[in-house]
Amino acid sequence: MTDRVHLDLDDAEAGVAGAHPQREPFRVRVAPSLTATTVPFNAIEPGLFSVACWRMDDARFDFDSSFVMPAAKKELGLLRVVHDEHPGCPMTVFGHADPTGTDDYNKALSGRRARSIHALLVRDVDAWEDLYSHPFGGDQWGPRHIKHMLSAVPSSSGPPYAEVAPGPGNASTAAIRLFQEENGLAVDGDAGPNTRRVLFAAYMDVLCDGEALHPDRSEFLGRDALGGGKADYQGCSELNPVLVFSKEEATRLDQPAHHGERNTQNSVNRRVVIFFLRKGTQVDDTSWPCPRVSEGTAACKGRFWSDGEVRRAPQAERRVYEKTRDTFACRFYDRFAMRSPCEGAAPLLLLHVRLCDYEKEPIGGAPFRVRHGTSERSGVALPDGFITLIALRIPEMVRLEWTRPELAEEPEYPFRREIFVDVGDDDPSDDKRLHNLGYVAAERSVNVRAYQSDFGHPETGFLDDIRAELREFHDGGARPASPAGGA
Amino acid sequence: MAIHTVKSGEHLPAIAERFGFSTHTPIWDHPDNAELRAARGTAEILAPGDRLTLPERVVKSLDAATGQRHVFVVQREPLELRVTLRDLAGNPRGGVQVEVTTGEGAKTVSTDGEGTLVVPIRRSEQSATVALGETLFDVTIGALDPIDTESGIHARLVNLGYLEAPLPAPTGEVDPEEEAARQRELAAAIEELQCDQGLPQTGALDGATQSKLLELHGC
Repeated sequence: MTDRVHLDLDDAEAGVAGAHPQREPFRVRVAPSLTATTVPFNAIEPGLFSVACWRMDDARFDFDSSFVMPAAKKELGLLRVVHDEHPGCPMTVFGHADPTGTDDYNKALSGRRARSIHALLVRDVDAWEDLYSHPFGGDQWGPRHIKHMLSAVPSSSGPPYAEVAPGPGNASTAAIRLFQEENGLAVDGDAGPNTRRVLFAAYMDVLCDGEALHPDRSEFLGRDALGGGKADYQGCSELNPVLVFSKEEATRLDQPAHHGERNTQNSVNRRVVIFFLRKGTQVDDTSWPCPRVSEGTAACKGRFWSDGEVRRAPQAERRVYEKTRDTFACRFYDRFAMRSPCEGAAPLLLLHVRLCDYEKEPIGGAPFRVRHGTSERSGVALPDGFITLIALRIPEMVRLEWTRPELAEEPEYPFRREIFVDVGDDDPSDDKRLHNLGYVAAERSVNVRAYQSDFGHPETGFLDDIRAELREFHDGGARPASPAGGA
Repeated sequence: MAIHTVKSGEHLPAIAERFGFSTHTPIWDHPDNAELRAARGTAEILAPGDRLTLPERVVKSLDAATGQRHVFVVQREPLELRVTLRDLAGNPRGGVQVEVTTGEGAKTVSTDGEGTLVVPIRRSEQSATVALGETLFDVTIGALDPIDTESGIHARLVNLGYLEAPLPAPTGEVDPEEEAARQRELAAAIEELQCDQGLPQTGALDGATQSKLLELHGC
């Protein structure tokens, strides 16, 4: 049993992961040949298509830096799930910067973040050492980051080194000494290259939960074989923003007094995305157009949309990729992103569902399975019978089966219900919401009264009295204040 | 004379087989089919909805003496599956071993210098699998529609790796958002092809792009 469908809302606050909507398996349609003159051949060439994705937002990097913050552990947990579910699908990492600064500067910056994530996953401490010892622009690793790592890596006594041997501000001499002592390093209280290597490795393991997430270099698209990280990771500079200001906004925000606001609003553009490609995809130097992180943006521009410069430039209206789908300059990248939940193309839906028995009593800790099509997920409900489902907007209904905790090992689960995933927001949609929450009587007023009773409201039977709260709660929002009838 | 309306996935040799013709020519060369013949050009590539006139079959009389054993052999026209394999960069995958499985079983063949493999198939054959190492292609025989149909364009773009899957034709009420997504995906595929082939990037399937698509795909 895993809890893959039961992810707390908090888990997704600075990142997203998901499989792309599935299409028919690779099928080619050909003509037969009566003679070699009429039909000489049917050509078949593989293409480059993404099947799953992961995104980590700006908030998980230190400000203006390629250093990955300890809180990234949450999002890396999401990556682990996607990675485990897509064996044999090569990964490639894309870094994105915001539109402040030149293309080439931002290409280098976004490339450093992409490289940092790749290095973290494959435990390439040399790459991190390179990032540390070669600052670029505002991306300077230093004592602050040493302190972050020592605050996350547990010492032999349990708590992290910086807690066991605290120091003021960014100072961590005592913690470094303790780390050096426990790891057989020369004890001088200075985080030199030798100490950093060991600390990087330990911190990477903390972020990736030990060996739970530790892909081999060969699991990346370039298989570490094309030099300079080609096809393994790349920086997209500022070419593919998910938010483009309106002309008016851009003019205002470009004034020095508003740079702080500009930077805040632009944070959505600073992100790292990993795409998983179709199983078995192999590329070489000529078939992967993205330049190395050390190269400029010339090759990127060769793959622009014909109106790429217009797409990424401010227009009359503010545009977000999720709605307008016309903000990416690079067509090559857009083709991976256009159906991806990680760039907002197919928003993830969150909804709450309650699992009850025939008496409509909630079953705390009920083991459950969710099915749609051929995919099946399983998990365990909360003590009061609620579960949180995360789904793509694609399936309209999923089939949910559950049982009592003591019957978890039985092959058949006795309770079943169809769940509406995409309920919409018209009036009947609220009946679907009540249905999903376990209020399945035929009369609306009966369901409303039961809901009102459960959540401590006066039992009026009028939907209008609970509509706002019902929508908020069902659609993945906060639990109403005082639920009654829980386990 | 009967009229046969071509269904999706049907090709003329299969129709000839089904209605008992030993070759496709009596149907294809029938004067009533002249217009379709001119429009389609290739007998193997018809569009769903095309109407074919099926001529009366000719009864052939043979004299045979009694008291002896006679062997009559019906010559059926041969049919082949011709597939050219290329890599991501468009280079032919010549001299590679490929396992082709049809209703008659699996056989291993080698591609020639152009990456082409040729396998004889029955006229009624509708599908095959082509395995190249771990890569497996499901091949639907006869489902390729003409280049001047939307489904025919999609199929060729899929075969050449520009589209992930054929874009389903809108049915019933068209959702403007879905239709826009469909058009975006198609435009991206076409621009990518134009970019690879050094054609002006317009995202529209103009005459030059259509000819290039036909040339690259081979039919």
